[in-house]
Amino acid sequence: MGNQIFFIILIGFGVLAIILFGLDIYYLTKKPKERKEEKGVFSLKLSEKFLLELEKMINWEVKKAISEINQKIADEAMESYKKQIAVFSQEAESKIADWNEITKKEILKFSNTCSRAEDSILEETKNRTDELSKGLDEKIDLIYQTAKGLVNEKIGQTEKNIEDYKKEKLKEIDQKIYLILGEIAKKTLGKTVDFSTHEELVVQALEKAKKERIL
Amino acid sequence: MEIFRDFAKKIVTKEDLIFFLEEINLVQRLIFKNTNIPLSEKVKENRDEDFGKEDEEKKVPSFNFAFAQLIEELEKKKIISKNPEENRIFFENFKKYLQNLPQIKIEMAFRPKKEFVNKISLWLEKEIKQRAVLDLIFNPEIVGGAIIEYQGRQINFSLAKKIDELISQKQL
Repeated sequence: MGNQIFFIILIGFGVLAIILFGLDIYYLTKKPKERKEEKGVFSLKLSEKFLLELEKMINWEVKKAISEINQKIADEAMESYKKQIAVFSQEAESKIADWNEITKKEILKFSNTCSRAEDSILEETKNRTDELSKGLDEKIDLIYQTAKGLVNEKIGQTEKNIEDYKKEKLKEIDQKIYLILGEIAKKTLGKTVDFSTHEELVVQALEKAKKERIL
Repeated sequence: MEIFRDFAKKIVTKEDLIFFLEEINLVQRLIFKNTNIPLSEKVKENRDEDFGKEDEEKKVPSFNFAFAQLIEELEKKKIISKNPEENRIFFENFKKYLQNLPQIKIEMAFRPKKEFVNKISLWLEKEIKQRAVLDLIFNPEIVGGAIIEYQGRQINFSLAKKIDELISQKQL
């Protein structure tokens, strides 16, 4: 941009120098006679007017050129700026779109990761819970079986003790009963019931059975 | 058949009868094995070996000497022949005869000795004129005497019954 302005100003000074050089050539190429005749009146007239006109014209041209150049520079700058803005805007939009896409992908990826992590945690938790539950069940069962075994053993032992005690007592009672019965039999028969008495009583029973026609 | 009656004399108690019937069952299983060998030989051969072992496991009576003698005697008298089918029929009839022997059930308050059992058996044979198998039951609760059952009829001559009667009379 700075280079362009410098280049335009340089062109403007170049044009002015060419005009001044052209005027000099014009005066030098006129005949000395004419120059002498005109020297008093015409030369002065033209010179002042012309110079003023020339100066005005040059100033105007320079101003115009500068104005055009400024306008052109401003237009070009605006155009360039617009283009750059458009490019930048497009790039920015593209970048934003890309960013949005990336963000979406990242969010989706993160979401998936979270979901997988959640599933994994839930699965692991379930497995742990199952393991703990199983282990707990086994332990409870083991304790129950052990306790049951011990209780059954105790019950069995107690039942056996009761049964033994019962047998012992019944034996004692039987012995007492037989003693009592023996005593009663002694009183009934008038003698103790020994082995030969038993045999005798059986023979008597058979004879009675015969008499009563049972046999 | 006379041979049946003769051998039935050796059977006194119900235990003897069961034992003998088991021996007949065992000998019946030998009838159709090695039919060229005499049955008495098969009984001798198997008495202490195969049947002995089986008896221990199954608690089944084995052949005894008397049974082996009986088989030998039956062979000598040609009551059992070499025809297995005839022998099978003979032993079947023998079993039926023994199973139909009359039985007398006697409940006693003591365990009688063998001599006393034989004495009762002879007394019964003499008195009722018939060979009978004694079904002896030990029951101390009857105190003394006996409860006798024969051909569906029963009579109680026990001391326990007398005692009960005395107690009842005193209570009245």
